[in-house]
Amino acid sequence: MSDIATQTTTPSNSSVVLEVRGLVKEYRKAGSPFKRADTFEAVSNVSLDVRQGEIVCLLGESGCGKTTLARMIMHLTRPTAGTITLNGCEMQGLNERRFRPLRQYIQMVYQNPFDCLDPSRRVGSLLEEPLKLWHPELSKEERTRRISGMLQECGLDESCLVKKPRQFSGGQLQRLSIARALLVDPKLLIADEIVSALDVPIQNQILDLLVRMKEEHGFSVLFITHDLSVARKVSDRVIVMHRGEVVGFGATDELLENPSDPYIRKLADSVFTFEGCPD
Amino acid sequence: MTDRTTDNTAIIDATTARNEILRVENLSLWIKKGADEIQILHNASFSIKDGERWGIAGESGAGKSMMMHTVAALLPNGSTRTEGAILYRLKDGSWQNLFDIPYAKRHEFVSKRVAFIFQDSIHALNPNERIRKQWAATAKLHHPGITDEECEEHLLERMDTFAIPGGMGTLGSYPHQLSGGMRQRIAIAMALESQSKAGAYEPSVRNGIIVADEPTTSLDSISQRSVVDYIEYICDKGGKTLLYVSHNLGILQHLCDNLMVMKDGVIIEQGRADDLFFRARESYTKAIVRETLNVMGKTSGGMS
Amino acid sequence: MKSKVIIWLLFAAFVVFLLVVPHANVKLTDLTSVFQGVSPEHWLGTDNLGRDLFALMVVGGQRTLLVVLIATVLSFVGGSLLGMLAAYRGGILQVVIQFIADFVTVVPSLVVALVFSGLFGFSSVMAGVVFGIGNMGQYINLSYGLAAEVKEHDYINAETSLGARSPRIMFGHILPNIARQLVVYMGNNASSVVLQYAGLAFIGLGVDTTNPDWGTLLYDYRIYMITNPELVLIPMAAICLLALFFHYAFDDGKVNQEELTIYD
Repeated sequence: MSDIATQTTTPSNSSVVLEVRGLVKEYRKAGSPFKRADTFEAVSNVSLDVRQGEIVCLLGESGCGKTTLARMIMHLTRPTAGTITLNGCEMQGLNERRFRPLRQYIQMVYQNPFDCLDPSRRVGSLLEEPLKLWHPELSKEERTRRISGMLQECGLDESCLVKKPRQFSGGQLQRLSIARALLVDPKLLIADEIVSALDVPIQNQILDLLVRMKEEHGFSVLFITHDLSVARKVSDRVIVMHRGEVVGFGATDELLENPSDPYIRKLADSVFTFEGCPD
Repeated sequence: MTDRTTDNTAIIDATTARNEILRVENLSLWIKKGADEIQILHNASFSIKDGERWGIAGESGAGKSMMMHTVAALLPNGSTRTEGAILYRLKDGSWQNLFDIPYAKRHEFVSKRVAFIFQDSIHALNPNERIRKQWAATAKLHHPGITDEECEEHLLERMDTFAIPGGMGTLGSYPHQLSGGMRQRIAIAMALESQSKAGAYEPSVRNGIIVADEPTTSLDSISQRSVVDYIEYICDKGGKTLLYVSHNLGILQHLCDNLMVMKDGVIIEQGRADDLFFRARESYTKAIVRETLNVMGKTSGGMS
Repeated sequence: MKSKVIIWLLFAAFVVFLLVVPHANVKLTDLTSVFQGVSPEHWLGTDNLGRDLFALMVVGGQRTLLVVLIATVLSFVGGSLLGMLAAYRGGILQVVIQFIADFVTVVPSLVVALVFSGLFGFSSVMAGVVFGIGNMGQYINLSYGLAAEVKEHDYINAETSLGARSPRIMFGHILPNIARQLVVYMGNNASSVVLQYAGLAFIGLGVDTTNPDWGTLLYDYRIYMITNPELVLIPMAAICLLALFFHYAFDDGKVNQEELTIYD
């Protein structure tokens, strides 16, 4: 089971950006001093690959372990077992200091747009920080140029720079979040439920933006969501998680049309289809 | 206020004999913020007939939830100002304007007619009390004078009606001991206590309305499906009138036969759901239909 | 906001006044002019030893302000840093720092001050240091609680994943978001230092009558409370007013308008 989730629809000679094998995250439940504490596995033996230029969707309900998995890949939590190989470099065992140089290659956009930018700072300074850190060789003008360019690509303009996060709408904040992540030029972008908190028209805009940026800049995306329609719209390949385990994988449309696993079938059945004619 | 007798409506809608049970006329709402006022609702008008299922669609901030809270007398007194009328049909056929009732008595009046399902229904359960205790408290509120044995019987009967398994075992549990799905059903059943019959004590409320305010927004797909199916089941079984607020057109298409679309506190368009989904007149309605098709990956030839 | 500015300007003027106003020598006693009332030579009159009360109040005020300054800076800076560090790093560091916080809170500052003054003689600076360390425990706890909450926000994760190092995260992203509440607490704290110091002096640790504090004056004049009440009332009023000032000067009455939400 673990190897199969790595099968892909893109040609297999495209390079692997992220390789996860047998990843486990165990948490200990509170126990009494007289009994050994019970453990439960938030992530259970998960393996997957993300290749160059792909959008891979990680589909699952809340509590299925997808966020824990993302945090482990982002090196914000240590896995209990298993390996994570980023760009050919095994990183799950590295301490923060050794891992830090790799951070440039992997960035994340978070679910709650109102919580992912420091409310006490101006947007301009929040965007400048990572650029200064990863590209110290750039002069101030070059930095400003890059930031303006990126803002424009993301559908925003320079007037953003002097404002604080609370002056923006949810959709604008996600654009800023994406812009910030892409400024360091990552190879892999993890999008953790980035449109779940947004209205439908804005969802479309952000999804279109993501796909467009991916085409432009050539990074891969691990797109995490619980929404099947969104998964269908955005990804080439989907991996379904339930209770910490991978229960299905494959080309998105195929998998959701003919689900073999009962859970996936239930998931596919839960979608409310919509018929309409706008014109 | 002219009386609408059942005879008139019977002539108009002979097949279904539906009466108008709620009318909102030119409702406007202002919220006070410091020295200013912000207008939230602008001249909203609509009419709800017994047994109809209405969807209320629109983006967040459109005022859908506020409008329902206003209709159900759930707004705080000091910080809001209203204009217009909210008319409920009384048992004898006459109309009562909600705003003619003194503020303190409004909620009592409404709670006999409207069961309100909040966005976070599940959190309506107190984690520190057993189900029996909480539910009995709500039941006694709507059936004053009921004894403990009668209440227990009533709860068991309700569990049957609402397809909540487990009987005494469930009643004796704490919320965290039950599955999420069970908790939802209990929370919804509790919200519907005002719509219940209890032996000879209180006859079932005739013009019962269920208002559901985005009850599935924070739930994932499978739970969402289960809640929506459940609400449909309750409405089918009890012949209830439904007002369902959601920004998800798929759910509304599934549940409702009538629809109103709101934007910035104004009802842009209203009518039969199919008419709005397929033959909308307003461009905003068309736009949200288009966007919904878009996010499902079906572009219908229109631009996204 | 405006009233705040006015209050602080008045206070600044008061401090300057205290520091530059010429006053009589406090050690000068004149047994021929005891208990004089208000007069052009003695703006607040004289006490039982003929000392100029105004001069005594000015000197006492200077010392009190010094103590408040030292104590507040010490406990604010030390406490905030340690609390933030404990929240951000966790682990053994958190255990140690929380122990320090509990320890300094439990040990009564007054007792410590007694011991120190016995060993090293009494001085305002020492009092300031002792109170500073004694009050640090509450800052640590407050700062820890605030920082622990802020740490859970996604923007902190975002900054970590963007490559920011710990110091930058702590000082650039956690501290700015907890500073406001810490400053409010600082006001309450400064206020209580005024009272603590007056209490210390009252007990008699400031036994050197040639270097009087407001608390010492209260002690010295307490027997004249009926006959010459102004001798007691003036130091008491000064202590209360100063404590009240600090309490209100840092209060944050402004509610952030943008944070009020109107549900849909």
